[in-house]
Amino acid sequence: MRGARRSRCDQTLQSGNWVSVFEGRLAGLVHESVQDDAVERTRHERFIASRMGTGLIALGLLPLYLVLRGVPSPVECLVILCLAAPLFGAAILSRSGRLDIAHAISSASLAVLVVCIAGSSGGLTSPASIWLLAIPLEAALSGSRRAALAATIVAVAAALALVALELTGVFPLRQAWPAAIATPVFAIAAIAHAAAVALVRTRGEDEQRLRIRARDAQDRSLLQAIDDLITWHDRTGAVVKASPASQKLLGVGPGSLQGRGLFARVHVSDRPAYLKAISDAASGDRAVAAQFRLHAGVGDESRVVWVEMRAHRVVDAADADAPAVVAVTRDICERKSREEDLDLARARAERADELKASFLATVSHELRTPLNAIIGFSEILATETGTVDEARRRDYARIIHESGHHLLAVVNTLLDMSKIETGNFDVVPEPFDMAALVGGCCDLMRLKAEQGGVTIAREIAAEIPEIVADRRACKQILINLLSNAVKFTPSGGCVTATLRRERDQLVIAVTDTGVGVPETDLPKLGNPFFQANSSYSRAHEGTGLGLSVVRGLVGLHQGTMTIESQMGEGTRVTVSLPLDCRAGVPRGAAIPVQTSARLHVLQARDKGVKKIA
Amino acid sequence: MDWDGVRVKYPRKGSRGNGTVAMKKTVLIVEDNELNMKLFNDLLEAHGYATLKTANGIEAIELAREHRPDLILMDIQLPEVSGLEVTKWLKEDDELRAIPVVAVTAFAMKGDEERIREGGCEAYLSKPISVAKFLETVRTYVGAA
Repeated sequence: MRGARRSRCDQTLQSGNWVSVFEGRLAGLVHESVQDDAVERTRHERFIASRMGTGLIALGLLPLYLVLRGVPSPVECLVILCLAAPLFGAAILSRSGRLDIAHAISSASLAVLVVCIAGSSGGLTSPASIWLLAIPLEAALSGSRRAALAATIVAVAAALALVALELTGVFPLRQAWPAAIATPVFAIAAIAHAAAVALVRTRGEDEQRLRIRARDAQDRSLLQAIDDLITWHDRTGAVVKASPASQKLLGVGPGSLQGRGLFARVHVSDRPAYLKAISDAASGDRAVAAQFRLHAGVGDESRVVWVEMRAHRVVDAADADAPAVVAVTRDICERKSREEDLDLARARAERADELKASFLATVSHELRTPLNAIIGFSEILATETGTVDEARRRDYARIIHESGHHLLAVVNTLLDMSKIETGNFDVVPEPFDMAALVGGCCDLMRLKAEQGGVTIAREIAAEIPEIVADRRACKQILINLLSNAVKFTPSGGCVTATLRRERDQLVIAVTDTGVGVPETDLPKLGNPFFQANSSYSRAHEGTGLGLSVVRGLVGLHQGTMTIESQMGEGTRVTVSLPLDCRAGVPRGAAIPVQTSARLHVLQARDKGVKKIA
Repeated sequence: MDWDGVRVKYPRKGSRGNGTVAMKKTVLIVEDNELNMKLFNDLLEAHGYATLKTANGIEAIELAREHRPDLILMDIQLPEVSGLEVTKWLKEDDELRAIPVVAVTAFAMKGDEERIREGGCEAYLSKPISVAKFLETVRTYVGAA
């Protein structure tokens, strides 16, 4: 504290302004107990300055008086002592910070002075006795109630003393000066003194007002510069005052947040958290943080803002009506959305990891199954030559050959899938007759279908124009769809391939009367290696890559794909390809597949087809 | 499927092995891949075992109850009900619990063996099999044919 005081003096000294130097020195004399209280400090400064001034002037004039007057009488000595007493009062105030004691000393010395002068110049009737009024007046203007009371008592005592002196006749009570001169002189002096005191007082008040106004302006500009909303709450949580930042944060003026205004904007499910934070802050010493949603704006423009509020207890709240809690509320939408993005990315990465793991497990399984036959039978042929007859040897060789081909098919599908996914699948567009291709593929699949007791029907519209597309890819799409349909259709069922034109697209649909796909599994169709049903119990052989490859190839042709399926009724996969696939930008492997849990009688144009990415 | 020749009558469980007639040991093969079924079947028959064959888990339970095989070779990925589930049912059945179950599966990723053993299988063989190890495992559980 002392160090701070010194540095303040040093600063003012450097400014070079004598008034500032004086004020700096004066501030240095004020007792440290009132340093932080602006009002009390001003009172102390004013007292010290005025009493030091009076005392120094009196002491300064003393030598001249003594030279002119010679040896002073005892009464004169008392007067001189009283004139110097204010210095003592100032010193007491500076040392102790007790304004009432200092004022009592000052009042007493003034009273004694007035009694001496009035006593020497006609007692109560002396014009000097007017000065008795100055005693309580000055104390009253000092702002201290105790000092004013003490001064009044002192003044009354002085008046009584004068009466006593007059009655006892201790003092000569002579009329030293003629009343005609003395009365105006003392009156003018008293008025001048009162005026001076009043002037100092008003100046002090002006300074005070300016200081308060400057501080208010400072506070206001501070609040305006802060983007965070600052609110003051009373003990019940109601908002007493809100900062202008409400406009920026919530789009409404600070006035509309007062009372229950802010509470009404808190999201209903977050209200308990909000109220708890305010009440915790009001009763505790620590800042309490809470995150909640606020409704910003009005009417249709309303939107939800995520905020974080830090509530602090107001220290030294003066009375029950004063704010008990001050809260700083900050917009955390950005942080929240960043957190959500992170969570989403994490979930996506985990999902990708899962997919990768299940992809590897399935690849491993699909490769090991044919390898088992190849390795097992070849080992029998190599080691047990004696026990295997010729017919069996040939049979085993055929099985090894067949399994090898199956393995090759799996590997090729994997490579295609990988090429499609990495964008390395070269689409070679050429014009060809799609109707002929559909017919050819149906013929290719007929043998396998007949083995399973499934018939293949075709419905090809008349006048199908040539399509410009990758013929090999289209063939693969058809073969995959047909073999899937045949695979999942029980004996006695039927697979229908249809081809028609819709504006500038060819629509290929493969419908079966098979087992259907559960609704929950529909969105997963077309994901690599996904086959409906859990992995350990699979009804049908296959890599689960068929639809995935179809999806990728359709995407490379800027086509669309729709899957409709109903359990026990059957499944229909519809692929639409533009007549000229060279137009537009390839959409890559992961085109969205539209799915529907109902097998529509009419396709494509029906409503209720759910779009799933 | 042709079951002739595998419907072998044998004494009750308690007296097995004490019979005076030399019985063929019977192995139930549960496998949905035709070629692998043929491989296991031919190998076992060539080494003097009788076989029972099915591609279906529920049928496997019925066959086990009817014929009381000496060993069950269980594929894990099966239509409708997984081999793990079938093994669980077998191990929960007081009469069938004693029949050893050897899992023969193409699920050979990390953790698969633990999961399958926890499911109650006595042993685990991953595909592709080694013929020697396959026969050795069968012998471990049922003895030489």
